[in-house]
Amino acid sequence: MVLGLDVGSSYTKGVVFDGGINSKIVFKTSFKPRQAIERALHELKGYDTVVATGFGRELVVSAGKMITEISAFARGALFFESSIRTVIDIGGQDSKIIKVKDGRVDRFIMNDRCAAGTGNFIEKIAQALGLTLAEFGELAVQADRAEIVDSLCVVMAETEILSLVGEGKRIEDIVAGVCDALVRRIDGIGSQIGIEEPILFCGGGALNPGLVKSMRRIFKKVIIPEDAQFVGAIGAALSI
Amino acid sequence: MFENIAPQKIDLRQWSTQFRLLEDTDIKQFKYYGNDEWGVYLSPPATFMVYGARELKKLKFDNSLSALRLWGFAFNESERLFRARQSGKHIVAAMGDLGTVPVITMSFPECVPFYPDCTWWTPFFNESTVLLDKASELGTPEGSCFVRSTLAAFHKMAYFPKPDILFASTGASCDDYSCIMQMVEDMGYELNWLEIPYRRHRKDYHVEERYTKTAHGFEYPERFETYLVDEYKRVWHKMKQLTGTDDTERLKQSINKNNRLRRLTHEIRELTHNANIAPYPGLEMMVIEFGNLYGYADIDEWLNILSMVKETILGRIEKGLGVLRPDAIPLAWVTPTADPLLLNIVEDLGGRVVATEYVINQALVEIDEEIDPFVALARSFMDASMIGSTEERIRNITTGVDSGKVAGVIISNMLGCSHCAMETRLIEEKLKRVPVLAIDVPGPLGITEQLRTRIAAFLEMLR
Amino acid sequence: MNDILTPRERFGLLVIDERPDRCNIMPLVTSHAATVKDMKLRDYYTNGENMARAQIAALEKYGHDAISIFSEVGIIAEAMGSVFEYPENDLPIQRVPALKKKKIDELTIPNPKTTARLPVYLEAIEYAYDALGDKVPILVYIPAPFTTGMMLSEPNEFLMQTIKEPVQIERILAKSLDAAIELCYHTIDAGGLPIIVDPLASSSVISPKAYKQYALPYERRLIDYLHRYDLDVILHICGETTPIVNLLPETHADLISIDRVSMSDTIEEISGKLRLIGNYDTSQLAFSSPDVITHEVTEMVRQSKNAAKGYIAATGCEVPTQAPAENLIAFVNAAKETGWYWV
Repeated sequence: MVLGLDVGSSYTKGVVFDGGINSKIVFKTSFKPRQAIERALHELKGYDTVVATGFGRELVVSAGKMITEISAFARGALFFESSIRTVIDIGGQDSKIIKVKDGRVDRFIMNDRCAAGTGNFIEKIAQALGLTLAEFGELAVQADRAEIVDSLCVVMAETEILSLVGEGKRIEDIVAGVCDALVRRIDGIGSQIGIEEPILFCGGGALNPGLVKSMRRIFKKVIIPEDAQFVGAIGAALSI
Repeated sequence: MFENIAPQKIDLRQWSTQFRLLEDTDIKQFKYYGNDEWGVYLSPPATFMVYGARELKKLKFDNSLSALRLWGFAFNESERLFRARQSGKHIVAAMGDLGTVPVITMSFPECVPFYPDCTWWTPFFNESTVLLDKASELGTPEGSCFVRSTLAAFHKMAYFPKPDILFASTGASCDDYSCIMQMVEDMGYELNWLEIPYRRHRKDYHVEERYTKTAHGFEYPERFETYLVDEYKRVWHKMKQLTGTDDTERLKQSINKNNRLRRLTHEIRELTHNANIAPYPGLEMMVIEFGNLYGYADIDEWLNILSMVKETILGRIEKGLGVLRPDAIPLAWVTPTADPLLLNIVEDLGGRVVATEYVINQALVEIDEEIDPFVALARSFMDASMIGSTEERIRNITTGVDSGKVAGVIISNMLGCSHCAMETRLIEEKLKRVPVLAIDVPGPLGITEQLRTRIAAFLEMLR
Repeated sequence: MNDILTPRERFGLLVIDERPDRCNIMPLVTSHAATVKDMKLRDYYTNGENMARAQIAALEKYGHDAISIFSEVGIIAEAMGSVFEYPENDLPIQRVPALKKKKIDELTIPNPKTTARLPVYLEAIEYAYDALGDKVPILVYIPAPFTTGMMLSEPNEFLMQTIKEPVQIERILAKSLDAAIELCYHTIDAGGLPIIVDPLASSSVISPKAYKQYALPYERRLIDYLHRYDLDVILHICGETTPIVNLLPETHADLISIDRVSMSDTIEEISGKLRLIGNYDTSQLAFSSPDVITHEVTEMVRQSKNAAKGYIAATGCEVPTQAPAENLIAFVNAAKETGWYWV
């Protein structure tokens, strides 16, 4: 059995895999990747070898193999659904848009410079509105309509949103607007390589019902796997 | 020396260990300008690191004696220029021209050409913002590229001596650099400007003119040649005024010597790019390609070094040895990276450079020795990478792609370089049939884990 | 005048015989730096990061041109077996010299990465180099073989042996040389520029004859080793150097740092052959006033700045820990003012 370990900047995800998920673990990396790796290696049992991916992959000294998140997400996504053409991962600190063709990566693009295209955008805005991430997601799905949030920069968006609050707009519609803004940003970045559908949406972002709704609003065919957060870890395990 | 050590890339500490094997007499045999007192340049990377080139702590180098010579010589250039000045030579700054002005200036006795614009590497080798900050303080446009460190170097006069004469190209040349040179002129330096024509071909115009072709097969109006001849004759005249000599026979000799350099560089490039296993690393090859422009201020010694490099490469090819894994992924590299570390990273992650477009391909073209030397120079320059269309610029890359020699293309996109910003997307567009990775080269110490991941993923994708 | 160059650029020009914007200013700010950070001396010389941080703080405060990595001249001897005590607020004091317990043959060449306080130096160099190695030279004071040799022995016994048992002395010096070379090797790989200090070879301690016979040849061999790297080597001898000044070019040093000599005589004797560093009286820094220091340093720099192969304004010896900050600031400012070269 293979342990696929995805040491992300926000969360560490581990999957013991033998054709299907045998056991899994997920917890915050908390800026301590070495400790997170130790914990995953210790708590998960029954594996023979480790394949590491994610920003902390090089710290997994016991790894039999290392692959980048790009390859891992593509592989993992194809495991869930072989017909997909694009993988969109919205992570805590970066986002990835990967086009797949004939079972392999065709082109990819990463957004790692600016928080606006990452899960961090949602976290910052939730913070400004005094909401937990869970509350934020729940409110977004209750929206009647999405308010227009134009700013692509977190700092600017914060001001814009506070002014919408001041104007008495419904909080549900505002947060839905925030989710739309993020997905539009992803769409914009993805236009450089040309997003094709069906899309598999994964990563921590896929756990947010508001973002899922926005993805489905902006794109037509969006698949969200059951273990959306574990796509990278599964892909790593599959690459052995 | 070191022939029996298996070829590989080693770091600074490993070089220090290997350097201990050299006898004092080995070290002292490599001199420039034939000088014994200060002319020795065979030093390990640690020496240059101690004097501030901090990135050397991170870089990996070829472990041959030829590479040690090559690095020592390249890093010694600053001192060499000051010593040249102290020993009475004329220092000639040839800026933005990329290949021809040095050939002319080398025709005059005791004249040493160099490129102040090459200071753009200094902030990266030093992992330092000293020059870039100073350039900003001196008022360089915020959006200009790393070549702005040249302005700071002119202000500080600690990286090269004050040139006796300065030539600078404008027109179909790098616009950031051109802007910086205008600021250098405002500092009180007298600049001799050369206007470089844009190489347009007949499709674009309907006027009745005669067209001709360069060695690479690029078409251009014949009158550009006459125009460039006049520009180069102005350079000649200025040099005549500076030195008091006027002997066109020496120009022919200079062309002959530079042709030797160009042939040697071409051969080394072909051998390296076509060998089964990479016999020499990409970073050293970039140093070699740029040396082709002016021989690092001592063309005679540079020729000796290149002969040694060629021997190393031939020896390795013969034994079937190299410095990268045999299954390294063949890549083309477009636009030289300001941060040398990127070339190392790409190789460490499994890539290998087998084709380059470092905007200086004109310096690989031999100059015709059978015709009037000025016409020959003009004709060779019309092959320049930067003066034509994007399609022409990357023709050798597309050839490599089409022949299956190149599996992927890396474009270094320099932060702040307006030329890059425009052209990178165009090149990507033109190379659609092959995977392309455009890297935004960040400032000193700016390479992030994400950038490494992007390169690694690109290579995984190609594998 | 405002500085145009960084200390690194300034030193770089000096060593290739070019005039920088102003003369380099390198008072020997060694353990004095601990006081800038209100650090106990023991915390300074037993912890590399502390040493580097204090040096950086001193540099920011005084505005001189070099980092100085140094605690005391026993550092190599200690690594070879001499026993030192570490007083909380004083420099290490030797208690038992190595050769009290060991025979010469038993002396081994220490590994600087692991032995005694040598790793403190390496750690300090790396920290300082990472912090500002692009802007400032990191000078690392390496005791010369003669000084280490004497620190390995009872000083009087050692001096007697120079007369009675020269063979034994040569064996000790050969080992000390190897140990110094090893430390230099690691110093360079960490980013430091070794400078050779040989205070126990000054004429305050030994005769010019003994200097010529025992100290100079080993200084030269160590300097020749550094010349393999094409590094420019500073030799510092504090104390009385007048009787040996004319011998100094034979050491092959590129820069000579001198203490109690007449600067004008020295300039006349050797300035055509060597770059000069010196030589302000450090007791003045401890006990005099900024006005007097300004006057005297101005005079020193005026007299020395045009030495043929270049000049670095410095103190003749280490800056005392108790020297008031305003005195050092006066030193540096006066040297900056008078040491300007460019028009």
